[in-house]
Amino acid sequence: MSRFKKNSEEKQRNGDRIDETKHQNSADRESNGGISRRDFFKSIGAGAAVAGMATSCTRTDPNEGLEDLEGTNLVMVIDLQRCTGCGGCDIACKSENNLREGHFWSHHITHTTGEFPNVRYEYLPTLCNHCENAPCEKACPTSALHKVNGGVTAHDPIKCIGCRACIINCPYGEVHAHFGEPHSEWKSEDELIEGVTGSPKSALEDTGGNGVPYYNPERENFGEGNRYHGIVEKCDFCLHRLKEKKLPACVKRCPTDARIFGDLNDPNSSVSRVLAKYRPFRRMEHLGTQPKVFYVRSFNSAADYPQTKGELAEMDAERIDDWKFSDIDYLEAEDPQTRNIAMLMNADRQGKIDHSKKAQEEQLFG
Amino acid sequence: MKKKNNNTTNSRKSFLKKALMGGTAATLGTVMAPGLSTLKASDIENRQAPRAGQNGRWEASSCLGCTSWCSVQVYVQNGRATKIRGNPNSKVNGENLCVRGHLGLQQVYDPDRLKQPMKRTNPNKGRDEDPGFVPISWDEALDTIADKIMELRNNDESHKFMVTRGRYTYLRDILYDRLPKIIGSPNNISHSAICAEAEKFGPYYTEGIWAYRQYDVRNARYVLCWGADPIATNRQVSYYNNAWGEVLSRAKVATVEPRLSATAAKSDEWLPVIPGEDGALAVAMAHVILTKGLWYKEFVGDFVDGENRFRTGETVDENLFDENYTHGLVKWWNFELKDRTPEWAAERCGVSADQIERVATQFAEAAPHAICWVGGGPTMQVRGAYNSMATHALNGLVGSADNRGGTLASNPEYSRGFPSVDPFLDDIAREGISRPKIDQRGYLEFPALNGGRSGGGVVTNRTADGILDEDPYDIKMIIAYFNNFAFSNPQSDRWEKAMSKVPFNVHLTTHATEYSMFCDIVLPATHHMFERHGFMKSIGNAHRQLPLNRPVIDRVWDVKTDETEFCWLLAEKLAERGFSNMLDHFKEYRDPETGAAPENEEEFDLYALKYATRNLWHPDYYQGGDRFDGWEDFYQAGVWNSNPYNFRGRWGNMNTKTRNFEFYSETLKDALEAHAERHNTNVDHVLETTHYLARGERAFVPHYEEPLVHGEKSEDTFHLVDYKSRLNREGRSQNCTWYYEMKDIDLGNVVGEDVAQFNPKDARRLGLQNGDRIRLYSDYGELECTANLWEGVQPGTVVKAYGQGHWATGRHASKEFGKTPRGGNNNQVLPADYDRLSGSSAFYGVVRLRVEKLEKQHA
Amino acid sequence: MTNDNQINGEYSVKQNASKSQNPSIPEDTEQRAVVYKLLADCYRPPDDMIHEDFETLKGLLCEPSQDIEPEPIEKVKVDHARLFIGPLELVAPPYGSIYLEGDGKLMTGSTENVLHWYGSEGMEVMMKDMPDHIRIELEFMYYMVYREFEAEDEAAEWQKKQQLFLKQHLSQWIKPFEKRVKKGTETRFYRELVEITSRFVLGDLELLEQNQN
Repeated sequence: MSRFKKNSEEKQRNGDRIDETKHQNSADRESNGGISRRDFFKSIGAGAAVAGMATSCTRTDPNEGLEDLEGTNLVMVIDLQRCTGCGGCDIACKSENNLREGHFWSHHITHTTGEFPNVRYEYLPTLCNHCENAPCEKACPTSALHKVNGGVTAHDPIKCIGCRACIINCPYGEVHAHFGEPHSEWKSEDELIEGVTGSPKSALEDTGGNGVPYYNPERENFGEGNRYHGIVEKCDFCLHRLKEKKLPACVKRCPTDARIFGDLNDPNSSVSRVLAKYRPFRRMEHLGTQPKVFYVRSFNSAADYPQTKGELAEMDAERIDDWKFSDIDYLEAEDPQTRNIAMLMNADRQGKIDHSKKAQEEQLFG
Repeated sequence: MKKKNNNTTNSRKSFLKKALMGGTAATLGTVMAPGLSTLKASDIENRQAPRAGQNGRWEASSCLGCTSWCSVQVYVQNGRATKIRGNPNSKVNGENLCVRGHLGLQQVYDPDRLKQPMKRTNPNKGRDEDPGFVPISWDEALDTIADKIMELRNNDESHKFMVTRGRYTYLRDILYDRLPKIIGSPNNISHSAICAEAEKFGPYYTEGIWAYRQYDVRNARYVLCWGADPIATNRQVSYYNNAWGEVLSRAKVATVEPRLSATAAKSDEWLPVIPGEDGALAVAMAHVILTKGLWYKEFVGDFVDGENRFRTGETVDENLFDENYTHGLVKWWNFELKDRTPEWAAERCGVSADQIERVATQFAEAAPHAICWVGGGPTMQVRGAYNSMATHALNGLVGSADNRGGTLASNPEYSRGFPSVDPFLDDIAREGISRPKIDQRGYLEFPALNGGRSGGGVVTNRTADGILDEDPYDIKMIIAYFNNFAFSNPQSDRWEKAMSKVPFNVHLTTHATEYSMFCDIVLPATHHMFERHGFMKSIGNAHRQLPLNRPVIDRVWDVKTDETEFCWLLAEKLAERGFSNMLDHFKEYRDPETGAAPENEEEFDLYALKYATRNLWHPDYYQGGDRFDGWEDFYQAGVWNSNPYNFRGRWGNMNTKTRNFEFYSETLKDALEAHAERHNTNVDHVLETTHYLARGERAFVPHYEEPLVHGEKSEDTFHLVDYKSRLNREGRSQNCTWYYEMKDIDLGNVVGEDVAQFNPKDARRLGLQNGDRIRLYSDYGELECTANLWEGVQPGTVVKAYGQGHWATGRHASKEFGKTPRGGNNNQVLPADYDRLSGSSAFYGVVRLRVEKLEKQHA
Repeated sequence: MTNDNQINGEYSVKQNASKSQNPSIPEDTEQRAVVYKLLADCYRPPDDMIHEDFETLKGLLCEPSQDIEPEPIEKVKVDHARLFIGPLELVAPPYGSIYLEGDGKLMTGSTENVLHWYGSEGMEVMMKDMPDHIRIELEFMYYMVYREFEAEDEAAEWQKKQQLFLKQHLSQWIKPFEKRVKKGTETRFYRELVEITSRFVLGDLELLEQNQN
């Protein structure tokens, strides 16, 4: 049932000249004995703008939409004890930012040391460090890489000329260059089984989506939805989400709550309090880039080893059991010393700070 | 639709008049439409178009990527799925989601998905045959299938019809149970025996749970994982990922695992056990706990006079011990444990006596908040059933069974089964159903003692042999759904032969997988996370949840839901042919809100879901857990959560013969004796036939069995340590490009490659380097992959993830579709062997492989 | 049943659990416009004309008219205030953002999006309230349907905009809004009004989507 067709049919029935509704309506006027349609609805003046989907535009004010972040210093703290090396952050970032195949803004470094069976495996989540002393920004000749509110290193695709000085200068390898069309594999017309499966091209057409079927248009609210040939790209702490008062995707999607995000200028923020509790390290600190991604604790928290001065000491190694108390049962232990220790531990836990995502959101966005 | 009456015209005129006069508050500004009172023309040159986004909605559904069965939400923008997260309404996984949940996006929009039904034109079936698929309509497909079914029924061969399933929702009974029954076949074969049945054996024969467990890790002070890798793979990965940081602060974590797994890498202790020797480790730990007097007295009981008589080598008088909630502790000691010292275990299991004693002691000192987490590794072995008992029995010793900080069962839930099928079974059906099943469960050699019954469980992989040997009879037609048995079963080439033999095969699937290539008709199925109705049940965080599968996007292609819509449409076709029993039965699935019977497949699909979940959402039938106003309320939330766990609720009330936690399993004794009696023999003979070594009373207690390994032990053979990639959505994510881009999150693996990992010492001896192309082979088959050197590998073993090695399924999964595999499928080198007591296939500690460097070394 | 047309991937399934009950959406564009206008107006603070407007509305939609006395205007005024205005906590806040973002806040991302919609048509809000108030959104629909009525060749474009706006906003929150109203209202008037609104909005969207194919 088509309303539109019906209308034109009606118009056709009343006369062949569909354009000349004026005449048609005069006829109506006569038959209805009342006010003509035309006269009833006064004609309007100005036309209206087309309501299309937004595409990127050169932003005249780099901080447009980020006013609330003025005066903040946004940092990320990654708690390696919580991190399980699952890679969820990497994929969440990819889907949020429409990254092409082979590109990662959130990624990882893994490292195995030792010899069987004394082997240590570590996983370090990595991303752009948004250095306070950013070599990429300093190197950029057009200021396409620039700092915005929060101390976030942002990238303006319009200003970028693709010279890649930033890539050369970044010691962490966190800037990436584009060659060719994004998501070019989706242009293939290759059908796996002819007539039965689709091709990437037909699948894309059937589902819509700009470049990939699961394209996320929200990325367009800051920068390009799909970055294109000739420019570079990098993590921007999801500025398109910060504008909407949302945490960066990697932070929000991390299932272990290992990533904590917030304002270092606020002494009561989660990041400030965690950094006060644990001594952090940063990647390649000796280079003086002043990274704003901090790592605390350890991927492997193994605590037990014999209390000893080493094999060359005369004494036998004695075992000290490293108890990790919980408040259950030990509060009711017979032995007073155990009870005291348990109560102390418990008290510490009572004053535990809420570093949950919800708390981070409230601290940052109110 | 439009009534022309005076009233209307008059009212309209009065309104129009009013509008002409400018409406309620019209001013000069409102030139755009008359009568506007809330909007006006803007003075500002604000022609900015509506911003992209901010119109997305989070819609609930379920992820079936593994048996965590997380409740999720999909971010839908303009009808497209763009992001995924956990469902905040879930009390099990909450908003947390593991990495492979996100791969669903690449799955649903995969261009290699089947858009429409297809049929085979090449009558020859075989690994090297091109099926010659051509597209057909749903109508033609269904007509053909219906004709075949009628033919079988008319020839008294309805029992030669078979249904197999892999993954499912809990609407499964429609296709998996009702359909074959009404047609008249006993043959519904599930995948469970290639999943985890042996793992359930121990928990059942000790505390009566033939099911997955959940673990109260947040309250634990020691977690001892046996071949379980909770932060990487099954089960409830999302929840345990979230809890693990805290667990590491509160509890000691030890991992028993031949390779350095993700959990082992973050553990306080790693016990690199030699594959197959987990039983030795477990019984030695039990020995330590008893000799040191560290068992949990409140649960287990104590010596009447308080003096510990468990001394190495000495038998104990049963009468001296008074048990509380357990049964047979002293028997267990006398028949098995008394000589199982750490030193004895250290001789065979690869873990030092020191470490065994330390771990056992600290584990027991944390009682009752000490968990033995029993995974697939120690249990899915040829003699794995007793490993399952031995590892799980330790929970009984420390009183953590059903206890806070311990190992828990599932909270009660209130879903219902579907209407009874009995009134719809005609004589042909009844006759067919009474025949034995094709998988030989219950045969002397295959007790498959699920739930205490002889032949109570499936022996999935044996089905191939049943078909090939026509024992008990030949199979003429198979309908398979959501599975890929020609890839996922050990010694998979037997399935290829079996499928080639069966004359008519139907596959309901999203992709043309290896199994599909042997089929006559392949039907495109909906994607479980985005396009269909269903519900799941999963446990974690001391709760049970029932999350809904919901269609959250418009179906992209001409797909249908296997478990419901396909069945209805088939039932219609059968009714057209004069056999209306199925359709009549389906009409019983009435909408609980209106009482209406379904009239088409869409209604059937929805009503079936509403029917089964009625007690969860209908206020009149509320029984517990979350409360909802009605169907809509539940539908929007997307998940029902149970009441919190009732700790210690099952103490003294376990589903075992004695109602207690059995160290001497009367329950198993009954089951074995019943099976023996069924075959006119005795238990010892059963054990001999099922390849177990124990005899006599030892058969009823957890005990050490020497592992049965195919392939001799030598310097040139390597024990295969199979494991599941943390990117696997079971066998289905290997056509996603993100799978290969992220492959290095499997410890020591390489992006884009399928690696077999060797300890560097072994590699040096073999002359292997990183990146070398190699062939791994056994007496059962071979595979090609890439070598990689890694210290996390135990010398004498080769570690390789399962998942790759597809030769069909899609352009990324295979190297050349239909011909050449990408990577190597572990199932090609695994023998088709079983833990016969449970019916499980054996994947671990079961085969030694040889290595050959390939001549042609290419990327 | 299967349908050969569906093989080409045009299959689109309305998978909403409660199906629309095929309301009497007027075929005539002009009448549709009038319906939207009337709906918007019926949510205003009640005055003496409100019952008559409501009857007109019901007539256009072929709703059965009932032979019951309309409720006294004072009662309707009180109910309106309780539901939509205050001064105490609103029983059924008539703002999209409350329901769309799921955490009951005002002036959220969806509010901004609505403002952009108005702006893209060169309009701004005149009423002293949040831009995603139901009256404004309904009136905006009226405006767009009116423009469709006026347009000749571009009628389809206006339909597309209407569909998009309904899909992004009104249709997404009308059901939870209806639930809140029905739960808390003390008058037949608002109960019927919100039911009619919900059915009409959802039915209109359904027809717009069918038109697309």
